Amino acid sequence: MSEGPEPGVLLEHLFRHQAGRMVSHLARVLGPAHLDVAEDSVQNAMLRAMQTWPQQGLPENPPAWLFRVANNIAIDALRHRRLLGDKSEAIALEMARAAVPAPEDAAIAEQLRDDELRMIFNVLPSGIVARHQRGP
Amino acid sequence: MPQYMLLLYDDPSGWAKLSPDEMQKALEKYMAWGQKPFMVRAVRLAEDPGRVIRGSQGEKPRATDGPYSETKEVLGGYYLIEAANYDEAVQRTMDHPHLEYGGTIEVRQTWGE
Repeated sequence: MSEGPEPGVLLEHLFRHQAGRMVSHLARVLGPAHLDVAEDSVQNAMLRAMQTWPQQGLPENPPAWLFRVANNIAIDALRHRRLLGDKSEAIALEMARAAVPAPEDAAIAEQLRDDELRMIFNVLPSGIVARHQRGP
Repeated sequence: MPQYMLLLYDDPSGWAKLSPDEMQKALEKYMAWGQKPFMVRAVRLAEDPGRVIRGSQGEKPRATDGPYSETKEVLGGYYLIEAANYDEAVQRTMDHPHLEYGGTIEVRQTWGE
């Protein structure tokens, strides 16, 4: 268990760290072709935090709040844009059903790290990845 | 003590240009300002066009969607603060982060308690 932030105080670079993890997570669920949806959803979740936390106070678990909101925004974006054609509804349903990842959960934290790694491989030019995989 | 309403206008699309770190910094500044001792109430408005209801004599009032698309700056929220007079209300508002990020704040005195 990692320690949560003190009441009313955000961890330094929380947004930056969470943004990376959330984009990776959503990109894995949506597929790398929809990286833009993942990025927009995460951006909008942070905007939503900016709009609501000053009045409502910090949520109990800010990282989990960001995850849940980014997830919901991504679901809405899929439903509205139907980017994935026939599959969009199924993926949106799957996302809605899946438990919202709480980053302090060790297993989920590991999964998120895997997501980040996978995304790095997705965006790197294949030559670099191949070189990397062969080792020195 | 008299109360003043601060109406916060901004161009919401401006926030999208900030990095996550910058966004967090802005959030923290807004949160800190909301803790000021003269604060009475803070209200954030939802980001939708809203509705406008226009009355006209002799006719039924009509509700239409808000005038969002034509205007760049929109009313995003308001505060009610305490201040002795306009000068103090303005002075207390001068360090609001909204101004640093290019927003506009309208200060209006309210009647009554």
